[in-house]
Amino acid sequence: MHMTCDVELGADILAANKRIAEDNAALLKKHNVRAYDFLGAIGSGKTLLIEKLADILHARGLKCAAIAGDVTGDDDYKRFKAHGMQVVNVNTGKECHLDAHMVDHAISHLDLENIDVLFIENVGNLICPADFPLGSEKQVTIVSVTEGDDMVRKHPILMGCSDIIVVNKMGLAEIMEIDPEILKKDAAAINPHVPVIFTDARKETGLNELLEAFGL
Amino acid sequence: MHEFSVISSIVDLVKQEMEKRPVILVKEVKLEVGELTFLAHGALEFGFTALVEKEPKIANDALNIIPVQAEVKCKNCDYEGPMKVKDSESMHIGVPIFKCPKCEGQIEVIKGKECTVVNLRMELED
Repeated sequence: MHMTCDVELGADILAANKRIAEDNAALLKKHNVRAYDFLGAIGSGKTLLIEKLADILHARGLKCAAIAGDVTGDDDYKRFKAHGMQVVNVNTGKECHLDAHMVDHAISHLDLENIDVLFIENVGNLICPADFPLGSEKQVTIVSVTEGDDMVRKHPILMGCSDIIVVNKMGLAEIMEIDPEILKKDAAAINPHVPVIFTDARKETGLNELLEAFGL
Repeated sequence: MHEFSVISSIVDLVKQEMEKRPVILVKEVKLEVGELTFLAHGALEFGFTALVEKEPKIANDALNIIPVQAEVKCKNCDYEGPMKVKDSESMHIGVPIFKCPKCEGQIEVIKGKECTVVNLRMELED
């Protein structure tokens, strides 16, 4: 007769990522770097939004840096670089999200003493990144009006857990026959405490309001 | 599809535990998955079956997923407990509402974002 045994483990598989995220946050805080993680679908306007925000912050005398998360390529990396930012390109290969370890590695390539604000652009994906906090101060979720007016209510957990929701490409709302107030109303129904900011990165509207929501 | 990397870590953990004892068969891997994670149970099960296919000492159906209901703590009042969930007949999954069910204040999630291997049941050699 064989013996059956139970081994109690209590091992949280996602906890390792959370621990590294906390270390990242502590390191960034030590160097007075404010970090913001941008989540959003492919084509929602994450990259352009970061470029425009960086230009405003540079004009205010603040130094910006970026971590460009993409499955492959260096398109975003080159765009950020052109704005005078310190940039680290992170190609995730087959992974659909950045994780805290990748960000930890990327941060080690940055001169933190010369950075005031760090933008982390996650891989274009609205599901997987949500399980992997990175150590940023705020998680910013971008939706654009071109994705449809049901985008917020289709992703309630991600929206509910976000610190800020940005509705981008506002200049296209009329052409797309979208009422952005629906996105705002849906966000308020899921989490009334999350600020919803309307922006148009290309037309440079709503950007100062967004920076205000960042506390910058 | 990040379930595969998560389940790979789980299978690695099970193998580490197996090395510590004279295991004949791992009969159950009890895994608690919070309802606020984005881990699809079906994808976890599929990944587990694929990974243990060539592991004769781990039963193919050993993975037992226990869903964990989310719990929140209000930052305004003393509420601590389940979230309010919006449900309708046409929706397969209820939508959790991120405000205090009691006072509508801002909440902090205290449970529901974990993916924890709680217990391994193994048959051992005498």
